[in-house]
Amino acid sequence: MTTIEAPTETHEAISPDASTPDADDGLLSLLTTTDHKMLGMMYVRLSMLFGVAILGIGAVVGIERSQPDSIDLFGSVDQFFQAWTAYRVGLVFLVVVPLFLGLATAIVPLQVGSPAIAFPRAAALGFWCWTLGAGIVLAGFAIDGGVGTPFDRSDSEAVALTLAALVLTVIGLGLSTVCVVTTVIALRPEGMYLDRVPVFAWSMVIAGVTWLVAFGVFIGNLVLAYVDLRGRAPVLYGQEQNIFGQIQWMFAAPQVLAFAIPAFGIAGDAIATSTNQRQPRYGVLLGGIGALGVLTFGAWAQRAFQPSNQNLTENGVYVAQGILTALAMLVILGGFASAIVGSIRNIGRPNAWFIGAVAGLLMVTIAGDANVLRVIEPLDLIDTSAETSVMNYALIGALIAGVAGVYYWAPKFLGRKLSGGVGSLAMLGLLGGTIALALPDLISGFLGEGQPEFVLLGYEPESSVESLNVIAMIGAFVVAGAFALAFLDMLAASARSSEVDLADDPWGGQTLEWATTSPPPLGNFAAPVATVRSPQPLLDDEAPATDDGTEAN
Amino acid sequence: MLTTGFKTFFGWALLAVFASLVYGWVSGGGGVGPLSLGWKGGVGDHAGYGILLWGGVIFGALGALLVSFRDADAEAAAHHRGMNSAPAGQRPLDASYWPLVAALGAATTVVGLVVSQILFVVGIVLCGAAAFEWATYAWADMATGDPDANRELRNRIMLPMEVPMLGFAAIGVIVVSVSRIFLAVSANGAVLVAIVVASLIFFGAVLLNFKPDLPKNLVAGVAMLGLVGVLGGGIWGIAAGERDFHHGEEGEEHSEEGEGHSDEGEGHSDEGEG
Repeated sequence: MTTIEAPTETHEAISPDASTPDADDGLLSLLTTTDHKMLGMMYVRLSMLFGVAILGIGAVVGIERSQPDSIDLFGSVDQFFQAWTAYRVGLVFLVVVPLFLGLATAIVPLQVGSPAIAFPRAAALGFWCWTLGAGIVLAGFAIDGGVGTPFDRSDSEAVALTLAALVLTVIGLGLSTVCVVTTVIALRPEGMYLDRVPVFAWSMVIAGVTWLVAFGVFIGNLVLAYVDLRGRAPVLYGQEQNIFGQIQWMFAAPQVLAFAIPAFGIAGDAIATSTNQRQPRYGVLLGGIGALGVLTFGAWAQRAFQPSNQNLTENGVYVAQGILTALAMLVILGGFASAIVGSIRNIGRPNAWFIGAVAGLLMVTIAGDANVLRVIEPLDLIDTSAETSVMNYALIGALIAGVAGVYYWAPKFLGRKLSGGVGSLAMLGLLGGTIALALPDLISGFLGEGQPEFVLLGYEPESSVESLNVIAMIGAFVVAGAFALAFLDMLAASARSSEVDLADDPWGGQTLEWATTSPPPLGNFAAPVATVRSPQPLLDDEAPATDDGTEAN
Repeated sequence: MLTTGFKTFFGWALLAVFASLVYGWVSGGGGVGPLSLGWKGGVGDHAGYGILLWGGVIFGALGALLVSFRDADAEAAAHHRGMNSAPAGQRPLDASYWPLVAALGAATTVVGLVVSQILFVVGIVLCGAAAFEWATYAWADMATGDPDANRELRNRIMLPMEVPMLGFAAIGVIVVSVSRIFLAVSANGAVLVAIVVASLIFFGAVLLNFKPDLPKNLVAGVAMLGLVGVLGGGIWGIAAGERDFHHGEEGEEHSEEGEGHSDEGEGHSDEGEG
């Protein structure tokens, strides 16, 4: 089961023995590397470290929300708001997006049979811009800044620093996205047409393009707020009570669902490997993911710039976008479900990454469905806690899939397998925690619980809502704990000596990354990649594919 | 031939343009306003209409780009260049400091934008230096087909400029940073700092002399830590400010607070103490 055949003239291979400054992983090589595997590994490690901190902040916010009338952890509404917004900003820009980009930076070049990522130095620049920007963003929140406060009592210089650093962070993520997308578009081997690229690589192209378009608008929002804030006296956009409202669209549906698109790609690759079958109707799957790219583009739906007499739920495009997104997600889920049901006996005892991929897929799909409820006007869920619920389902669902990806591809970018038992425990904890965290907020939304809890700090919610808030708090702690467990497992694996006898393809994968050693050599492939004839090149030696992607008998 | 990439992005473009028209009409645009980009009649909500339409333009441009290069398929690339086989893909590149320097420059610019003009200028200079270096690397990468020859070519041109400039920059940073530390701490503290720094440099050099085969990464790491320490100390010194100097009436004698002695009380002058 291999595609590494007698050398063809296509795509020159790089000798694994070639001398390279990245040969060891000392401090100097970490600082100067342009090797995509090392950059991806650093992205993954750092984003997971940030994840532990950000999910911890979410849990502390949960404590405050559980008993707002008697618990006062923050001292003021403004500080509570800073933590509340830090959770949102951090979850998107410090955890979920960089985790996916880290995986993509490490894995996508391998998946498309390329010796390196496109623009390796730009990929390194993207990582370092993100790292330094993220550090300054966190510092900005810590020194009484952030993205504004409702009562305008934060340090405006620290707010300006946070906004400027957020621009740097987003530019870093954008650079990395460009490198990943260009790799898929331009560095594929012979025969790997765009409709034959692996699902994860395809999902990163779709998500990447959507992110890049949205990032541009988001930077525009930030610059507008910054310029007004740093002027003599803020007129409107830079007034601290208005800043978060202008960037809120980034953390609400439909845009927040765009950050979860790679979850479908990870699930696609993991499910295909686990079922040991070609994914049926591959084109429909790629088309469904492509549709998500368009349908989750949310930069246009900016509530802060809506006419005051108009609600987004009165807008036909907005409602149709929500409904079609859910439909596209259900189509993809149906395709995966049919693949699993058709090959259930092949799965056996599920791996941690399979559990995580399916769990993440379910959570993200529920986010899409919950968003349908949100956009239906008579239900009146806009600006209720249902918004938080959709965000948590989408982002933490994406995070579960991201962690599943780390477990799945660890042999390639760590050179080690992670612990299956610990991984399964972490995945189940993340699944249970996400449901406990997000479902109560959805129900609370129906009961009229407001979205801007910060304004209501000190109020006494209804007893039913209070109980639901307690469940959500427990969910937040379970999510944070399970995520920390997965992070520690990865650190422990990194500390172990590398597995010298680790198989090239320990899971029975179908795509090109499993055709090289674990970890891969410099240049990724010891021999040139042969012409690709199907989306599952590693299965082609066993049974060639027909035109519709199924196996020929 | 319409490629997969073209069909994907062109589909998105059509959908985005269609969405912009629908959005224009449902948000209060006139009959032909959204169709004529607002030339005849209103387009409704300008922000949403504009963003959706702009999305359509971007997707359309991406689609056109992809069809021009036939999705960048390897066969198409070979055909384009009149070759029998596809050209080599992106090669792995050497390690480079410049991405990190550029990112440090960008971060310094961001912090300087808010905190200090000097930092802002330093950040811009770092970004400019990184951009120049980057450009020479990019040029050298494509000079010949041999990476080693490219590296040698690049070094032959750039090292005569880099070494003295980096030397000046390092000396400047160290001198400025150490001087800020000396000015921020007390007179005795400054002497102590000077002794410690000089001793570290001296014993470090002795160690290197007797153990020339120390791991390069260890030496580089320690040097980097030392530089960061000096730089951090300098920034701290700038933030803390100079210690109080009480100048005498003639402006020649001065004393320092916190030293337990002053010109006025005891006629004790710092001048002459070194």
